[in-house]
Order: sequence, then structure tokens, then C-alpha cells
Amino acid sequence: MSRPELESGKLTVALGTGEAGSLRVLASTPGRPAEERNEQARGAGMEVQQEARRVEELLREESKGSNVPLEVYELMATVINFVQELNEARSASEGLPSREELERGAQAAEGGDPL
Amino acid sequence: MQLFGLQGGLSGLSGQPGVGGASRPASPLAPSPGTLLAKVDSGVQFRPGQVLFGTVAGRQKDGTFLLRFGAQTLTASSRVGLDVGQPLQVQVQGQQQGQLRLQVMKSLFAPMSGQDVGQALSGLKQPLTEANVGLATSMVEHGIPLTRENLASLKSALAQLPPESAAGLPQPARVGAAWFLQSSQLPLTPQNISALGHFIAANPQLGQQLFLLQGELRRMVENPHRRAGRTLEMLAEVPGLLGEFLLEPGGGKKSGKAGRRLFDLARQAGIETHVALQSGSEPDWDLLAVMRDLRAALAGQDAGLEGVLGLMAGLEENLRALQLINQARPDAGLAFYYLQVPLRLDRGESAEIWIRYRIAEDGSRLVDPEDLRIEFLVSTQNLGNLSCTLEVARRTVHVDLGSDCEEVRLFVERSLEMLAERIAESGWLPGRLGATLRPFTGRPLVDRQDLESLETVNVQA
Repeated sequence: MSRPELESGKLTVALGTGEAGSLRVLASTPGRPAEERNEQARGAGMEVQQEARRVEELLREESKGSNVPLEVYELMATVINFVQELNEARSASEGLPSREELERGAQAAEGGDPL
Repeated sequence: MQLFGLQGGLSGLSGQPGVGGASRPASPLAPSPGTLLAKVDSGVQFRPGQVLFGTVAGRQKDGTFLLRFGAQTLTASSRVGLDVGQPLQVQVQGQQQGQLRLQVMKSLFAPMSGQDVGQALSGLKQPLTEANVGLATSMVEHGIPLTRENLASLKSALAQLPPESAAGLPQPARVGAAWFLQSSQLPLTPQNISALGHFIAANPQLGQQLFLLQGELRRMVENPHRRAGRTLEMLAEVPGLLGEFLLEPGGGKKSGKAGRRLFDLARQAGIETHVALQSGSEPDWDLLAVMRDLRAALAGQDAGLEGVLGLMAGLEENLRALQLINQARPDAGLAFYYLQVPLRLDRGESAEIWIRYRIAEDGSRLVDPEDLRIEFLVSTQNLGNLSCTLEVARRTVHVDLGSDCEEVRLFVERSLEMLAERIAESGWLPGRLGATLRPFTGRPLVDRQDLESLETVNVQA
């Protein structure tokens, strides 16, 4: 359950058949746990293939299938970040914020550990 | 065809036999200033005598009006002036060669009461039991057409709900959940009704749930008592995992990372069902599955774990509700994805996002970056609730930030230049940016108005 560590060159994907009969990536495991997944799969009698280019192509196809373009998520994050900056700046000053206050608020937010 | 009114009234009763005067055939009325001529598409048929409730949705350049009746929008000419937004009640006089003749009706409105619901049930030849009246009342409050079929299907769906799931769940929330599932082509199971019912009744926020769970787990790990080593090991892993779902504050340079984190959250909420590694930062996480596995592993181990198991169950239920909401198949051509975003957990700050999508002819859902509308409700400690409407056309981003506090609005207004810079840094063109004085309470999953606030109408007036 620990966080996967990204390690270049190792990636295991589990494949299955999608609704239209096409090949779909059902799950992916990057880094060291990828080898463990491979062993588990072999142990369960599943076929394990090593085809880096095919995996890359499949993942590229999956990326196209995103319901919301990634750049839209980034735009949403920009707006939320801006509101958070304003919120931090407001806590630093009761008055209207200057540019410096906003920058200071943002820096304070970046340095803090909310957890 | 079943139409129901947008403005009060016993929704769905219009034009049904045996209900008030709505089923009476139209008397041959001479053309009068109150007559409307509307265009209708072939295949759409209205019955003479049918009473329609709707609103004036707009006025066009050629002087014609757009009239909205339920799911139908008609273009109509009128000899009398109509105001946009005006509620409208009309009776169908006839339909010929794509032209629909409608008579504007004068009506007397009165507050709706339980007696009206009882009369409607009698009209449907349904026994006036307490359960039937309660269900019918909730249906009217949710704008659900009160038909014999709807009554029967909802009654049957709600009967499946085991008593423990129904406990603490008000009837309007149960009815709203069941109706949402039914009209969204989602499985009408007790588990789904319960998850959505609790969402409608309590509006649980992922951020608050994560914070509570995180705090409880840390407290348990720091006070191990005689807890088993393996249990503690499992509990200790979770707070770090939950932290993965937090959107950290930061400037424009962090929007890429934060965008990927939003993508991960969208996966948990059932918006993104793909597992592409390039798009997400944590492609393997499935918070719902992790919570289920952990709860199964911890169940029965320790009597002191009930509290934390309850928090996990609440979190699971909310995630299930979010996934259902985002998997719904609405009838309308435009609908919204819904996403909850945990911000500063220690201060209870969070955001809710509604992302508009279009349903294509093949049934797929499209979020077009060139024609985008996103609504935000951000709850903050120092600014209160800040709403935001974001629209994009031709890569130009228009943002309106709203607050119900003038002081906050002014504060935000002075900072819009910085927002323009942030948008430009993200690779978009800043367009109209503004701050307005307005409240925003978000988009409810299902509309509901208390019966007392609705109006009944005497259609024979």
C-alpha cells in the first residue's frame, strides 16, 4: 500500500478487453513493485510479455481517452491556487492586498506543511 | 409525452385525464390577444386541451419568443408582450402543419397543501395511506411527475432499502436519490440509494472526511495501548496516502503538478476511468478499494476500532456517491461532472467543482477546451465562500469571482491583474476577469422545494 516509486525502465500493465473488444489498460504499476506484479501474474498462470513499445502505444491511446483534457485540470488548478493565494494574503493583512502581500502570502503557503 | 411545469404546481399532472379541468377539450376560442403560435418539430404532438406550465426563456431579434415547457423549447409569436423569465400557463388549442396554437390562461395561484397531494393521489386511484402521501409529497417537492408508474417504481425501489440503511435518512433524500438513479439509468440498488441519499441529505465533503480520518488514525498510532503490531502498521500507512489527495497551495509554476493531482482526484470520483500513466501522478491508487481492503482487514480485530471504521465507511460511501454522480447518463445534452477537492485540511478548506460536458451523438461525453464552462465553490478560512465561473472560448479565459461580501469582492477585484498573469503563465489568454457581489451555493444534485413554498393552480380559473 506504500506509494509507488517511479523507476525508469520498469512498468507493468495489466491488459484486458474493453467494451468494443479493443485492448484496454486495466491497471499499471511503475517502479520496483512492477517486478513483484509480474511474479504474481506468473504464479497465477497468467501470460507475461515484455514489449516496451506496445506498452507505450497502449498508454498513449489511453491518455487520449481522458474525459477532461489535462490542460483543463491545470487551468482549474491555476484558479484554485489563485484563490488560495488570496486567502493567505488576506490572513496576513486586513486591508486590500498589494502585490508584495500576495507574493508573501503565496510563499508562506508553499513553506507550510498543512498535514 | 409527459411534460411538467417549471414553476410550481402539481408537476406532471398537466393534461392527464381526470385531473381538474386540465383534461377538458379546448373550447373553440376565437383568436384573442392571448393566443400564441408556436413552431413544433414533426413527431412532437400535443393534445388539444392539454395544459402546459413553463417559462418565457428568451426573446429573439425577429420579435419571437422562446418558450420552455419541461424538456421542450418552442419558438412562438405573440401579439401581447411577454417578459423573459415570466412563468407561463397555456392550454393547447390545436396543432396543424407544424404550428401549435396555445391560449395563455389566467390562473389563480395558492399555496400547495397536503390536501392537494391527497387529491392528486385520489385522481390516480391510489389509496391515501400515510406512506403514499409521504412519497407523493416528496415527489412533488422534487418536481417528479406524479404518475401511477413513477409512484409504483419509486415505492418498489425504496422498499428494497434495509432498515439500517434507511435509518437517519430523511424520506425526501431517499426519494431524490432513487429518482436520480432512475432518471440517470444507474442501477437502483439499496447501496446506491443509501450512498446518494446520504450525499443529498448531508453534503459530505471529502476534505473534511479525510481530515477526520487522518486525525483519528494518528491518534491511534500515537497511543498504541495493546494494539497488534500489524494493525498499527496498517493504520500508520493511511495518513500519508490520504495526504496524496490534498491540493497544495502554490503559484502558477505549480499548476502542472496540481493539475495532475486534480486528475488523480477525478479518477477517484469516477470522472476519469482511464489509467494512463502519463496523465496521472499516482496511477495505481484507488482510494475506494484501499478503504474497502483496509476496513476488511481491520474488521473484528479490535473493539476500539469502531470509530475509525465508521469514518472509513463514511468516506467510502461519499466516494461511491461521487462515482455514481459522474457515471450518470442524463437526458439533457449538457450536464456537469462533479469533483470535490480537499485543500487545507487542518482548516477545513475545500473546493467543489462542476465541469460542463456535452453528450455527443454517439453517447460519449465531451469536455471541449474551446467551449468550456467550469463552476467552482471554494470554502476558505479568510475569504469565506468564494464562487467562480470560468468560461473559455478560443483559448481565451473569462473568469468571474463572486462573493456575498462587498469587502471580499473589493479585495478580490484588486488582485485580478495577478490572476491574468497566472492564466497567461498557464498558456491561456486572459479575457474578461471580474469580481461580483453574488452568492453561490453550488449545483444541487436534485432540485427540491418544500411543499409549502410551492403553488397549486386552479386551471379552470
